[in-house]
Amino acid sequence: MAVKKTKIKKGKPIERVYRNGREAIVRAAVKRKAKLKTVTPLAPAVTVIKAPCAIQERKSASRPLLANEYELPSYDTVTKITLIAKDPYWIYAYWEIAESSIEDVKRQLGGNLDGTRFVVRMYDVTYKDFNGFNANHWFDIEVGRYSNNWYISLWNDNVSYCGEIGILHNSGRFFPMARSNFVHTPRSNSSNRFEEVWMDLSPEIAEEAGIGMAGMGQTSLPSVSNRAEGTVKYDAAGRFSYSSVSKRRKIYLTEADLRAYYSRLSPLLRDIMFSRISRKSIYRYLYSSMSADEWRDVLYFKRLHGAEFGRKVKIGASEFAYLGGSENFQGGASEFVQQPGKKRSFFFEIGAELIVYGRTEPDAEVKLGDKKVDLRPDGTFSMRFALPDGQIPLPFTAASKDKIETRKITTQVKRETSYA
Amino acid sequence: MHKGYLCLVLHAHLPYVRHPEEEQFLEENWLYEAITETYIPLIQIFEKLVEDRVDFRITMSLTPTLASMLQDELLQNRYIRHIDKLIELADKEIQRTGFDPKYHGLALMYYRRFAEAREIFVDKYKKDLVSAFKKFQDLGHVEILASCATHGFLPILSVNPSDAEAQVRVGVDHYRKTFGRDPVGFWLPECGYAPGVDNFLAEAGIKYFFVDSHGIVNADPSPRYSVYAPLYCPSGVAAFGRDWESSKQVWSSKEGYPGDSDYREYYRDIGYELEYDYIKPYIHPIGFRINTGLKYWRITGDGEHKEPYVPEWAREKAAMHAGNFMFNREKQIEHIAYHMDRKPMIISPYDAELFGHWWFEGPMWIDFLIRKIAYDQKTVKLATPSDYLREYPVNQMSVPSTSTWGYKGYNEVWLEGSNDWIYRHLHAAGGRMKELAERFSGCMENGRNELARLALNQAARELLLAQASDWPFIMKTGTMVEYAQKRVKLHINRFTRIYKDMMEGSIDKEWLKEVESRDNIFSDMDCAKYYIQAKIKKGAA
Repeated sequence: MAVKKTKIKKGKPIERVYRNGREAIVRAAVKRKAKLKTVTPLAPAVTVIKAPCAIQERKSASRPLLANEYELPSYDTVTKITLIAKDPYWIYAYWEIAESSIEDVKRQLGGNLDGTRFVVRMYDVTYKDFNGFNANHWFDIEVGRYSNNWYISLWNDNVSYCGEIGILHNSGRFFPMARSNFVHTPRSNSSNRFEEVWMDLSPEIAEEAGIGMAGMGQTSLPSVSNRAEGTVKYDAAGRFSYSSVSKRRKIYLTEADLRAYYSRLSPLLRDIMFSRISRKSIYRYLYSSMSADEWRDVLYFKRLHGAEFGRKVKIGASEFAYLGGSENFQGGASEFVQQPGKKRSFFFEIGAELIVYGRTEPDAEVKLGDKKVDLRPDGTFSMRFALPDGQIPLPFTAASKDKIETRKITTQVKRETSYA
Repeated sequence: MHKGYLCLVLHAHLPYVRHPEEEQFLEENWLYEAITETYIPLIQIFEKLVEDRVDFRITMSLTPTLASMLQDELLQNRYIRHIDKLIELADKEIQRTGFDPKYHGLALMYYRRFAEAREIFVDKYKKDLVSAFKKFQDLGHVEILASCATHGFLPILSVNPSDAEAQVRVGVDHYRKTFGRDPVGFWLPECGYAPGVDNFLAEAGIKYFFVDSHGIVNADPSPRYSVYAPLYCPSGVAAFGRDWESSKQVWSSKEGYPGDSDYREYYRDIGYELEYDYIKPYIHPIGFRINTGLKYWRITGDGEHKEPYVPEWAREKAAMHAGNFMFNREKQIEHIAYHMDRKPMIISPYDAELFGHWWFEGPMWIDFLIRKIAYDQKTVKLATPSDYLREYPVNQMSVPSTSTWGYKGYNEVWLEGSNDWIYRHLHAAGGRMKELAERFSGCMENGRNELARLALNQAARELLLAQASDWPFIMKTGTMVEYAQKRVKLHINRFTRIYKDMMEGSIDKEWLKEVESRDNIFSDMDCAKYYIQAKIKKGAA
């Protein structure tokens, strides 16, 4: 039975697509739709259709998907492109192209694709509120009709990109078929911005704001001072807050201050700030009342921050404390699953084991030295030993059940290994 | 008076591997080996420390997948079968090595270890090791971190924010259910952070998480105190950075402690060494050799030749290395503290399974380290991040840099030629899951349509299981690749079938029941509801 499409939610025309800064951009794309007809809005325009619960039970079909089924689903009914940052200088792009999108372009070109190429157009949108035309620059990568992913190398780290999969005509006309999400590549080294903002999250702040103990897990974890006897008590206020806070001027930043501050960091962070502020934060922000230079003089090492600080403050066993990626620590929780696969060069080994066996009356008692040997129900027994080099004496005794008859057998084994 | 803190973080995690359809399944051994070699030894150490009234604070994660497996009845019973088999083998080994003093003592050692493991597992904790860790948390010694539902790699999953959000929120709710309290800290799988990820954590009530060193060092604006003090993200969640020096001392295969010649060699196992017919009942039923866990040799040197393991020497070394580690932390803290207006904190996170499984003497080393810190010096104190934030609620605000603790520090391990194909499917399925959940959200309300509710929840479970970062990791490292590929395909296919069926309006109930019984993780949670945006937002407010 088919699902009835009963109602289409009107308040939510376009899905929020990606975490940072994109909501606005998607809206922009929609507004522009009149101008740029060929760009399909990148999010599969999820119109929320609430269906009635009309899911029926069906008898077991012939497809038992319990075994491994190797064929994976395909998604080529919608043209779509996605970008993922791999590291500071590489972006991975994957896409699907629906036949219908190609048909659309064909129509616009008068029925055929002569003189065209499939390209991914990459827009550098760092610090831009991208509207389709204001990229810092863009470049094309010719990808061919049948590839569906590409690793794209960049010149700079710490940049924002968005891409379009489309068809480029020899005349220079570009027909985008879908636009991607926005990605921001990581920094490859430390920031050269040194101004400081400090945030106060003490529980008192929460009280001040009349919100109660919403702060740092006071109730969810036992505090250390409540626990063991004789341990040093943690001063809840902390020494630091007395000695150092006095050096700082407490101010409450306005929403606008914060947004201005963070929008300089990265356009993608603006969204974070929006949602952050909308949560009615109870945090207090502190600005240093000393100038940045004065602050730095407090430190023994002048003008050392971040990586430099780390590099200078090196001690202990390690020869260097250099950073940038952590190539030395190939971690990952699941390193554990690396099974034995250690490569061996040629090798040759010999081991020797000794099997001693015998039989007697099933109810007799057999001993090797002074240790009892277990007999099988039929009176037979066997023992297995590792056999190192040297002599091994094996004194066996057997006694009949009534202890009247005993037999003693001693056998001696010698192993001698020589290497040449 | 101490001058700084050391925060030991043990990240305990295994992917969800449970195959009721097979009598014996090789990959389930990952869990059994880790129980015998890591989790039980850690429990033994913690118990003894508590008994001796030693003051200690350890931070550790117990991921939802691992906790679920530890609480799964089928796997619990299979572990008992596994350990019984080992006890039998060790018993045989005691006799077999009777004339070989170099190995006889080792056979006895393994027999004792296995017997103790069984006693702790069966008698003491009634098969539920999660309750042991919960106990240490309730006693105030261990702080357990929450983590993603199935170890999803957030920097890439957050292409669909609903996927990242569900990973976090399912993880947090599972934590509440398992440990009976709200989590304070969160372990980001693979330390995978990208600006914005902290927002999902903030929404879920998390107060702190960890990033690799360059996540802090490359933060913007530049951090004043490098990795020795946390930063607050704009969302108000604190980020603690890994200390590279202490990490290297333990991790590095060249300079690290675990490579010492007196320590036990991991790669020589009697499963591979002994005569075939004798060892056959203890290796894979099909007959290929596998690790049994009985390893008789020490690392010795680089060559092929290995000398027998001498437990006393190894113990000596573990004590020495613990002393060396502590000494270095003292020097490090004395030096750094001089340049800071607060006590520095050194964050040393490790995979828990390194200790015991790979580095056999690791648990012993932790034991020595904790005792030495408690009694032999006054500079360093063990603490957890929440201890630190209680003492210092004022911290610098900055945005940590995108980073992971994988090779080269970014996403490359989980995004490269061998595994990039999975993201097309993960993202598509994630989008479809959201579509399903929203379209059929009416069915989630009680009793409206039970079958649809079950199907929705199962779809969410399949999606979550496909998202584990373990699968791309295994594909990259090149061992057991086929299994990882199978798992991704299987879950994506099961998901897609439910998706298509629901869109067509009918569900094969029998099939669904069978899939439910196999992929039964989070079986008592309504996983689909985490994908309904409106509900999530309402819940947060």
